[in-house]
Amino acid sequence: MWTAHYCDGTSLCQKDGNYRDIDQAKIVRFAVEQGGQTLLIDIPKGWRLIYRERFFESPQGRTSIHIAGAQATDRSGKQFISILYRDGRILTTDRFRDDIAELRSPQLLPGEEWDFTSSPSSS
Amino acid sequence: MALTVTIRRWTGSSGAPTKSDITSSSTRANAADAHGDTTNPIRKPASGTNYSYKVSTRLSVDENDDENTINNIKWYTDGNNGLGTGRGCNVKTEESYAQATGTPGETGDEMTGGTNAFTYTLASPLSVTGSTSSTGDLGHFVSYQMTIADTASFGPGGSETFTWSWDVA
Repeated sequence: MWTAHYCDGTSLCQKDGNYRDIDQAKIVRFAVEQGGQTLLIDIPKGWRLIYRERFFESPQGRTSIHIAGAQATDRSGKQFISILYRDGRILTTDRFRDDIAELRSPQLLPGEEWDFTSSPSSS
Repeated sequence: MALTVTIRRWTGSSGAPTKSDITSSSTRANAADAHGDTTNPIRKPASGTNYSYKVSTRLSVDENDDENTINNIKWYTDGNNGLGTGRGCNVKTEESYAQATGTPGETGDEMTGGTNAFTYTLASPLSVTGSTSSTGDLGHFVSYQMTIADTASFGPGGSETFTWSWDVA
Protein backbone atom coordinates (compact mmCIF):
# COMPACT_ATOMS: atom_id res chain seq x y z
CA MET A 1 0.00 0.00 0.00
CA TRP A 2 1.43 3.37 -0.97
CA THR A 3 0.66 6.95 -0.07
CA ALA A 4 1.71 10.07 -1.95
CA HIS A 5 2.10 13.13 0.25
CA TYR A 6 1.74 16.54 -1.34
CA CYS A 7 3.27 19.95 -0.63
CA ASP A 8 -0.11 21.36 0.41
CA GLY A 9 -0.51 18.81 3.20
CA THR A 10 -2.95 16.58 1.35
CA SER A 11 -2.26 13.03 0.27
CA LEU A 12 -3.41 10.29 -2.07
CA CYS A 13 -3.58 6.72 -0.84
CA GLN A 14 -3.47 3.70 -3.12
CA LYS A 15 -6.96 2.68 -2.05
CA ASP A 16 -8.26 5.97 -3.44
CA GLY A 17 -6.46 6.04 -6.77
CA ASN A 18 -3.78 4.50 -8.90
CA TYR A 19 -0.26 5.50 -9.83
CA ARG A 20 -1.41 7.53 -12.80
CA ASP A 21 -3.47 9.72 -10.46
CA ILE A 22 -0.46 10.92 -8.47
CA ASP A 23 0.13 14.63 -8.99
CA GLN A 24 3.83 14.71 -9.87
CA ALA A 25 3.90 18.51 -9.58
CA LYS A 26 2.84 18.44 -5.95
CA ILE A 27 4.38 15.28 -4.52
CA VAL A 28 7.03 15.77 -1.85
CA ARG A 29 7.11 12.36 -0.17
CA PHE A 30 6.15 8.82 -1.15
CA ALA A 31 5.56 6.02 1.33
CA VAL A 32 5.12 2.36 0.49
CA GLU A 33 4.36 -0.26 3.12
CA GLN A 34 4.79 -4.01 3.01
CA GLY A 35 4.96 -6.56 5.76
CA GLY A 36 5.23 -4.01 8.53
CA GLN A 37 8.08 -2.17 6.83
CA THR A 38 7.70 1.30 5.35
CA LEU A 39 9.91 2.78 2.67
CA LEU A 40 9.84 6.58 2.73
CA ILE A 41 11.39 8.63 -0.01
CA ASP A 42 11.46 12.39 -0.35
CA ILE A 43 10.96 13.74 -3.83
CA PRO A 44 13.15 16.78 -4.49
CA LYS A 45 11.48 19.74 -6.12
CA GLY A 46 11.62 19.38 -9.88
CA TRP A 47 12.03 15.61 -9.71
CA ARG A 48 9.51 12.96 -10.63
CA LEU A 49 8.45 9.89 -8.69
CA ILE A 50 9.20 6.48 -10.16
CA TYR A 51 7.20 3.60 -8.75
CA ARG A 52 6.48 0.02 -9.72
CA GLU A 53 5.56 -3.20 -7.97
CA ARG A 54 7.49 -5.95 -9.75
CA PHE A 55 6.21 -9.51 -9.60
CA PHE A 56 8.12 -12.77 -10.10
CA GLU A 57 6.09 -15.91 -10.72
CA SER A 58 7.40 -19.47 -10.92
CA PRO A 59 6.06 -22.90 -9.94
CA GLN A 60 7.57 -22.24 -6.51
CA GLY A 61 5.18 -19.32 -6.01
CA ARG A 62 4.92 -15.59 -6.40
CA THR A 63 6.95 -12.82 -4.84
CA SER A 64 7.13 -9.12 -5.43
CA ILE A 65 9.26 -6.11 -4.68
CA HIS A 66 8.42 -2.43 -4.56
CA ILE A 67 10.62 -0.13 -6.61
CA ALA A 68 10.41 3.53 -5.71
CA GLY A 69 12.66 6.42 -6.51
CA ALA A 70 12.88 9.75 -8.19
CA GLN A 71 14.46 11.21 -11.28
CA ALA A 72 15.33 14.75 -12.23
CA THR A 73 13.15 16.08 -15.01
CA ASP A 74 15.88 18.28 -16.47
CA ARG A 75 17.18 15.27 -18.46
CA SER A 76 20.41 15.35 -16.46
CA GLY A 77 20.00 11.63 -15.77
CA LYS A 78 20.15 12.16 -12.01
CA GLN A 79 18.07 9.62 -10.14
CA PHE A 80 17.90 7.36 -7.12
CA ILE A 81 16.03 4.10 -6.72
CA SER A 82 15.14 2.14 -3.62
CA ILE A 83 13.80 -1.39 -3.49
CA LEU A 84 11.71 -2.72 -0.64
CA TYR A 85 11.96 -6.49 -0.48
CA ARG A 86 9.40 -8.83 1.07
CA ASP A 87 11.72 -9.57 3.98
CA GLY A 88 12.07 -5.89 4.81
CA ARG A 89 15.50 -5.33 3.29
CA ILE A 90 15.96 -2.09 1.40
CA LEU A 91 18.42 -1.54 -1.44
CA THR A 92 19.21 1.96 -2.65
CA THR A 93 21.16 2.69 -5.80
CA ASP A 94 21.68 5.44 -8.33
CA ARG A 95 20.40 3.86 -11.53
CA PHE A 96 18.51 1.06 -13.18
CA ARG A 97 20.56 -1.87 -14.45
CA ASP A 98 19.15 -4.27 -17.00
CA ASP A 99 21.44 -7.12 -15.93
CA ILE A 100 19.79 -7.32 -12.50
CA ALA A 101 16.14 -8.39 -12.36
CA GLU A 102 15.22 -6.13 -9.47
CA LEU A 103 16.86 -3.12 -11.10
CA ARG A 104 15.68 -3.69 -14.65
CA SER A 105 14.39 -0.51 -16.24
CA PRO A 106 10.64 -0.11 -16.09
CA GLN A 107 8.64 0.18 -19.26
CA LEU A 108 7.57 3.78 -19.66
CA LEU A 109 4.04 4.89 -19.03
CA PRO A 110 2.45 7.94 -20.61
CA GLY A 111 4.11 10.99 -19.11
CA GLU A 112 7.36 9.17 -18.38
CA GLU A 113 9.35 10.33 -21.37
CA TRP A 114 12.79 10.47 -19.86
CA ASP A 115 15.61 8.05 -20.43
CA PHE A 116 16.06 5.95 -17.31
CA THR A 117 19.39 4.48 -18.24
CA SER A 118 21.28 7.35 -19.83
CA SER A 119 24.38 8.78 -18.26
CA PRO A 120 24.21 12.35 -17.05
CA SER A 121 24.01 14.60 -20.07
CA SER A 122 26.48 17.40 -20.66
CA SER A 123 23.95 19.45 -22.59
CA MET B 1 -8.18 -2.90 -5.37
CA ALA B 2 -8.13 -6.49 -6.46
CA LEU B 3 -5.52 -7.35 -9.06
CA THR B 4 -5.13 -10.94 -10.17
CA VAL B 5 -2.67 -12.03 -12.81
CA THR B 6 -2.47 -15.68 -13.79
CA ILE B 7 -0.44 -17.78 -16.21
CA ARG B 8 -2.45 -19.81 -18.65
CA ARG B 9 -1.55 -22.69 -20.90
CA TRP B 10 -3.63 -22.66 -24.05
CA THR B 11 -4.63 -25.92 -25.69
CA GLY B 12 -7.29 -26.95 -28.15
CA SER B 13 -8.56 -25.27 -31.25
CA SER B 14 -7.84 -21.62 -31.93
CA GLY B 15 -11.57 -21.01 -32.18
CA ALA B 16 -12.33 -22.35 -28.72
CA PRO B 17 -9.08 -22.76 -26.79
CA THR B 18 -8.87 -24.16 -23.28
CA LYS B 19 -6.91 -21.81 -21.01
CA SER B 20 -5.64 -23.87 -18.08
CA ASP B 21 -4.37 -21.97 -15.04
CA ILE B 22 -0.79 -23.07 -14.39
CA THR B 23 0.02 -20.29 -11.91
CA SER B 24 2.36 -21.45 -9.15
CA SER B 25 2.10 -24.98 -10.48
CA SER B 26 3.51 -27.05 -13.30
CA THR B 27 2.52 -28.39 -16.66
CA ARG B 28 3.80 -31.29 -18.69
CA ALA B 29 5.25 -31.04 -22.18
CA ASN B 30 4.19 -34.32 -23.72
CA ALA B 31 3.39 -35.56 -27.20
CA ALA B 32 -0.18 -34.37 -26.83
CA ASP B 33 -2.04 -31.09 -26.96
CA ALA B 34 -3.16 -31.15 -23.35
CA HIS B 35 -2.26 -29.74 -19.95
CA GLY B 36 -1.56 -32.46 -17.41
CA ASP B 37 -1.37 -35.32 -19.90
CA THR B 38 0.48 -38.34 -18.52
CA THR B 39 -0.29 -40.92 -21.17
CA ASN B 40 1.53 -39.54 -24.21
CA PRO B 41 5.22 -39.16 -23.46
CA ILE B 42 7.55 -38.07 -26.23
CA ARG B 43 9.01 -41.16 -27.88
CA LYS B 44 12.80 -41.34 -27.90
CA PRO B 45 13.78 -41.43 -31.57
CA ALA B 46 15.94 -44.14 -33.09
CA SER B 47 17.73 -41.35 -34.88
CA GLY B 48 17.38 -37.60 -35.09
CA THR B 49 15.14 -35.59 -32.77
CA ASN B 50 11.60 -35.83 -31.52
CA TYR B 51 9.66 -32.99 -29.93
CA SER B 52 6.95 -32.28 -27.44
CA TYR B 53 3.86 -30.60 -28.68
CA LYS B 54 4.35 -26.85 -28.55
CA VAL B 55 3.33 -25.43 -25.17
CA SER B 56 1.63 -22.03 -25.54
CA THR B 57 1.58 -19.92 -22.37
CA ARG B 58 0.28 -16.43 -21.80
CA LEU B 59 -0.52 -14.05 -18.97
CA SER B 60 -4.13 -13.31 -18.09
CA VAL B 61 -5.40 -10.40 -16.02
CA ASP B 62 -8.42 -11.83 -14.26
CA GLU B 63 -9.14 -8.92 -11.92
CA ASN B 64 -8.02 -5.30 -12.15
CA ASP B 65 -10.44 -3.18 -10.21
CA ASP B 66 -8.27 -0.05 -10.17
CA GLU B 67 -7.21 -0.26 -13.81
CA ASN B 68 -3.57 -0.66 -12.85
CA THR B 69 -1.11 -0.80 -15.72
CA ILE B 70 0.66 -4.13 -16.15
CA ASN B 71 3.67 -4.17 -18.48
CA ASN B 72 7.40 -4.92 -18.75
CA ILE B 73 6.75 -8.66 -19.13
CA LYS B 74 9.79 -10.96 -19.02
CA TRP B 75 10.34 -14.72 -19.08
CA TYR B 76 13.48 -16.58 -18.12
CA THR B 77 15.09 -19.82 -16.99
CA ASP B 78 17.85 -20.55 -14.48
CA GLY B 79 20.27 -20.84 -17.40
CA ASN B 80 21.09 -24.49 -16.73
CA ASN B 81 19.55 -27.29 -18.74
CA GLY B 82 18.52 -29.85 -16.14
CA LEU B 83 16.47 -31.96 -18.51
CA GLY B 84 19.25 -34.45 -19.10
CA THR B 85 21.58 -35.55 -21.87
CA GLY B 86 20.08 -35.23 -25.33
CA ARG B 87 17.15 -33.17 -24.08
CA GLY B 88 16.50 -29.50 -24.59
CA CYS B 89 13.93 -26.77 -24.81
CA ASN B 90 13.38 -24.12 -27.45
CA VAL B 91 11.28 -21.01 -26.91
CA LYS B 92 9.92 -18.05 -28.79
CA THR B 93 7.22 -15.42 -28.47
CA GLU B 94 4.18 -15.47 -30.71
CA GLU B 95 1.60 -12.79 -31.32
CA SER B 96 -1.26 -15.21 -31.91
CA TYR B 97 -2.29 -18.70 -30.94
CA ALA B 98 -2.26 -21.76 -33.14
CA GLN B 99 -3.08 -25.21 -31.83
CA ALA B 100 -0.07 -27.48 -31.36
CA THR B 101 0.17 -30.32 -33.81
CA GLY B 102 2.01 -33.61 -34.11
CA THR B 103 1.61 -37.33 -33.71
CA PRO B 104 0.15 -38.19 -30.29
CA GLY B 105 2.38 -40.36 -28.17
CA GLU B 106 5.30 -39.96 -30.51
CA THR B 107 6.36 -36.40 -31.39
CA GLY B 108 5.12 -32.90 -31.88
CA ASP B 109 5.73 -31.05 -35.09
CA GLU B 110 8.92 -29.04 -34.90
CA MET B 111 8.40 -25.45 -33.84
CA THR B 112 10.21 -23.09 -36.17
CA GLY B 113 12.10 -20.04 -35.06
CA GLY B 114 12.76 -21.07 -31.50
CA THR B 115 15.89 -20.33 -29.47
CA ASN B 116 17.53 -22.43 -26.76
CA ALA B 117 15.42 -21.49 -23.75
CA PHE B 118 18.37 -21.68 -21.39
CA THR B 119 19.98 -18.66 -23.02
CA TYR B 120 17.23 -16.58 -21.40
CA THR B 121 18.21 -15.89 -17.83
CA LEU B 122 17.42 -13.51 -15.02
CA ALA B 123 20.16 -11.23 -16.33
CA SER B 124 19.09 -11.60 -19.96
CA PRO B 125 15.40 -12.48 -20.10
CA LEU B 126 13.06 -12.96 -23.01
CA SER B 127 11.03 -9.78 -23.49
CA VAL B 128 7.35 -10.31 -24.07
CA THR B 129 5.32 -7.63 -25.81
CA GLY B 130 2.22 -6.61 -23.90
CA SER B 131 0.63 -3.95 -21.74
CA THR B 132 -2.85 -3.42 -20.37
CA SER B 133 -4.85 -1.41 -17.88
CA SER B 134 -7.87 -3.66 -18.07
CA THR B 135 -8.62 -7.37 -17.82
CA GLY B 136 -8.30 -10.27 -20.23
CA ASP B 137 -5.51 -12.05 -22.04
CA LEU B 138 -2.30 -10.07 -21.83
CA GLY B 139 0.52 -9.82 -24.31
CA HIS B 140 2.17 -12.21 -26.67
CA PHE B 141 2.47 -15.92 -26.05
CA VAL B 142 5.61 -17.58 -24.75
CA SER B 143 5.69 -20.82 -26.70
CA TYR B 144 8.17 -23.55 -25.95
CA GLN B 145 8.91 -27.08 -27.02
CA MET B 146 10.97 -29.84 -25.46
CA THR B 147 13.37 -31.74 -27.69
CA ILE B 148 14.71 -35.26 -27.25
CA ALA B 149 17.53 -36.57 -29.38
CA ASP B 150 18.57 -40.13 -30.08
CA THR B 151 21.42 -39.62 -27.61
CA ALA B 152 19.01 -39.31 -24.68
CA SER B 153 18.44 -42.14 -22.25
CA PHE B 154 15.08 -43.82 -21.92
CA GLY B 155 12.73 -42.62 -19.19
CA PRO B 156 11.36 -39.35 -17.91
CA GLY B 157 13.45 -36.21 -18.27
CA GLY B 158 14.08 -33.75 -15.51
CA SER B 159 11.87 -30.80 -14.73
CA GLU B 160 12.64 -27.15 -15.25
CA THR B 161 11.44 -23.93 -13.69
CA PHE B 162 10.43 -21.03 -15.87
CA THR B 163 9.84 -17.63 -14.33
CA TRP B 164 7.64 -14.78 -15.48
CA SER B 165 7.97 -11.24 -14.23
CA TRP B 166 5.91 -8.12 -14.79
CA ASP B 167 5.48 -4.65 -13.39
CA VAL B 168 2.36 -3.08 -11.96
CA ALA B 169 1.93 0.67 -11.65
